[in-house]
Amino acid sequence: MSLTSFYFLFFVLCTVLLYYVVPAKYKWTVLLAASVVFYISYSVAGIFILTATALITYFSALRIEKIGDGYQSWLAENKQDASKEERKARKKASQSHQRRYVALVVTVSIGLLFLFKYYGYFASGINRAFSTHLWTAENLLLPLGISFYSLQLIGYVVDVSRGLTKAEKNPLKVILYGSFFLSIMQGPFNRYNHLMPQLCGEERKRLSFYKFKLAVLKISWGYIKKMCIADQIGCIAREVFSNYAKYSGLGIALGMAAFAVQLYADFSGYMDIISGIGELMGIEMPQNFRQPFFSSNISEFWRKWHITLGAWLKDYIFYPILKSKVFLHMNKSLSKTLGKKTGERIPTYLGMLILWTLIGAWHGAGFNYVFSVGLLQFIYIVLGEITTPLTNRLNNALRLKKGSLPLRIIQSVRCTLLMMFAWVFFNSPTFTDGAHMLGRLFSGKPSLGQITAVFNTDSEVLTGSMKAWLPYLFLCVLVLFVADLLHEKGVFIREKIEKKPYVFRMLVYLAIIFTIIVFGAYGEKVNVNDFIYFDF
Amino acid sequence: MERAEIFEKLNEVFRDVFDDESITVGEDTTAKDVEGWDSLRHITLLAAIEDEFDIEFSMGQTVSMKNVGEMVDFIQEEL
Amino acid sequence: MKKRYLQLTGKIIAFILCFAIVFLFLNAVFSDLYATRARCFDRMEDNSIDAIFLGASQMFSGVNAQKITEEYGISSLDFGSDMQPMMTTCYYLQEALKRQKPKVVGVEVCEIFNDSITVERLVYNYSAMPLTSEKYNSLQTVLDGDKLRAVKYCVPLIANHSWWNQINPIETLRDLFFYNSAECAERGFLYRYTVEPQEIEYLGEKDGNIREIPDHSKDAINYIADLCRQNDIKLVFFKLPVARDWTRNDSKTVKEYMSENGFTFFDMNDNFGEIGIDPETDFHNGSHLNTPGANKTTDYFVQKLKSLEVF
Repeated sequence: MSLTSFYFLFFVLCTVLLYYVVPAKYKWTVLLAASVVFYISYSVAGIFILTATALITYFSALRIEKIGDGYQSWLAENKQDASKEERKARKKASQSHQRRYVALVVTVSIGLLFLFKYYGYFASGINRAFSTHLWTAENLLLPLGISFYSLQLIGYVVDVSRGLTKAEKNPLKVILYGSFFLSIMQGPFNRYNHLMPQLCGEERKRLSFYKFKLAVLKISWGYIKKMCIADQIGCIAREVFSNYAKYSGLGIALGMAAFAVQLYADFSGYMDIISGIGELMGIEMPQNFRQPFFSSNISEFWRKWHITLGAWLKDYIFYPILKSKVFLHMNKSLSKTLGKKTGERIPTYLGMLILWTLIGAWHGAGFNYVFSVGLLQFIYIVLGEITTPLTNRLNNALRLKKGSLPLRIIQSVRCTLLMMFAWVFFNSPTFTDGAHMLGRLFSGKPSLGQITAVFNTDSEVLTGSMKAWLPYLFLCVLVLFVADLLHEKGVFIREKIEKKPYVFRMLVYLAIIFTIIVFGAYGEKVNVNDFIYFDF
Repeated sequence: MERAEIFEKLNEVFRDVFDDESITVGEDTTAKDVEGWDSLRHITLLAAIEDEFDIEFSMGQTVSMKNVGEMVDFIQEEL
Repeated sequence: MKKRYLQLTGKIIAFILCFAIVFLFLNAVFSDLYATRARCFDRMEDNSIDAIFLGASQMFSGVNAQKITEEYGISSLDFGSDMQPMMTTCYYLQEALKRQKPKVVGVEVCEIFNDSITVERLVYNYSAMPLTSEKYNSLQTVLDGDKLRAVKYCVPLIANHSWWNQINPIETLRDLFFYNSAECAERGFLYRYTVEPQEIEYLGEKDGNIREIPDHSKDAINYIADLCRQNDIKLVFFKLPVARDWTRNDSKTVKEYMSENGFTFFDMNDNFGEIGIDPETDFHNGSHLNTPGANKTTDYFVQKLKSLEVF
């Protein structure tokens, strides 16, 4: 059920209505039913895999809690008598027992994730390199949301082992946690004790007309970003990326800029739709974006882009790695020989390297993913840190004060350009394609002709002249920029709109409706020179 | 150990880890208040505190402590 | 309380009104988008046309209705749209007969073998036509009964919105608010003076593949014939000279079908010499004559119709 279909809108309407009709105690069953329906609309087989993973997680969490409770009751009885060593030993034994169940869940989840998402890629590679005939899992379809629910369920079981949340007694609720339709497709990553109290809480929920309007405004804004900006500008990006050999210089740059707009509008638009629907039901979904393009460095960018992914990896991968015996030992011994600063930096950077490799790999099976949103980001961050004294001197020489507007603008532009560069690899089918495309960025003399070429015959963006597309692209960037700027300044845009007189509000509503009708990428696209039936 | 004593020792650790003699931490001090205290340095800081007090923070405590006040609560628990 | 209800009703009515105005305006903009020859029809006085010529772009590039009106004194009109299949030609005739009482109807048959429906065809053929039940029924026929898509193409704003980047605001505003009803002297004919030398496939070595006339086209032809019979109109089918996509076997198939069913048909590709067509100078492209070529063809066309006692 695509988010931009009438079926989905109907589905949301039914779910929300049912949600408010059903008594508070059972509202979560409505969400579970809706999540199952939503999942099945994509894949019936997948729901069994998800349920199996969730049930294994459910059982493991209960066992972990029981083991932990066992230790606590022993501790309560024997606190006076037992020595510190004995307490420590018992604690270690209990933890290691718990860890076995965590390992079980991790093995199952990551094993399935690897099988469906990565195995085929590696098997094909091996076949090509060694002329073998390994099974390449070609017919295995990637279960919907496996990259999200696997990690989310692992997070739950680890939280139980860390004592941060109680184990859930009802298996259906764990299944709900894994399959929740608002975050199954593209996130955001939830935490059990942030999401489930909202879904399963028994307070009465009431939706005021005001809150309803705010939610609908957010959902509409999400649809505008997705249908009118991402899907439209995506045509330019798609044309340049698929046929980069035909374009050069400014034409390539145009494609890179278009992709950045498309990616941001698509992903953040989706998040707005999802959180708006959540708002309709009084559920607060975690934020995934916080005006990322205003960041002053790449580290900050990743704290504001796909926030929940970074947060998950920090809590469940990065910290455990850095806190492991191996790393702490490395820190100590290196500090002794190379001094405190370097001694600390090396294991941190090593941990970061592992972290970023995993981030890259999570995005997809292929070196272009591992590189573009993994290793390259690591390089950006390390280089950024290493060159800090240099850049500070440069800034002083140019009289750019720290935190001043000119400096922040420069930093923000630099950040955007670095990401646009990285995304070339992210959006290319292979690493080499990305490299070739970037090579073409520097070929030929910069001229207007390089841009006009993108809008010529045979191009996907032909239906339209440059005269319409470039202003439209500019308008999209402007709209996204202004919205982000207002948010950065703490302006609650929707509230401000709702406070204005009716005439103003009516104009806003009409503008939203007609923007989607006219500029939304839906229905059949007419391609003048192609005579090809092209479905959005 | 008294809370005040813990805070005194913490000040020393913070000053040592972040190379800044002017740092003084209180109940509500968070990472935003100390320059250089980011997620990368968090573990290093906790390792130094663990060494100083001969305790071990659990992962649960590591990821959930919101300010130095909570940190002191955890330290008192472990002692 | 009463005041609040009144306010609320007022707000709702204001919203619906504004919505309707914007919707109708945008709808008009998007139906104006593709300037088909069919708009000319709107500007003709009722019951002033004696001869209507139907068909696709070959027709309104090849039959100079203005010439026929001015030089031969027979009030004519070219009424068609690009890539118009025979099924849609039925619909155009229905619309034409609402306001005109022609004595003669000529149907160009270049699309007789081609009944595949593409999005482009739908947009070209239906956008500029007014919303009537005939339009909806025709769309349903053409779309094989898909009611939802038929409704969509009845509303140009929804059907054509992806052409937002093709709109020329100045032209559109002029067309919507300032068009001169005295215009359309060209009577639906498209003047074109570009030249592209061609090789005539019809005169070549090969007879060409044998194509079958699809059922849709046959149904359409019968329907047109019935309509003309009911309205006492002399009906003629014809084929204009083209350089490609029309072979001797095609001509043979159509001639056989037409004579079996008692329809009048003539193929002007048999008369290149008589018409005086010069393949080096008289074609705009492989499928369309340019205006010099059209003028020669029109002269021959009128003579032929006179000899058939149609004119």
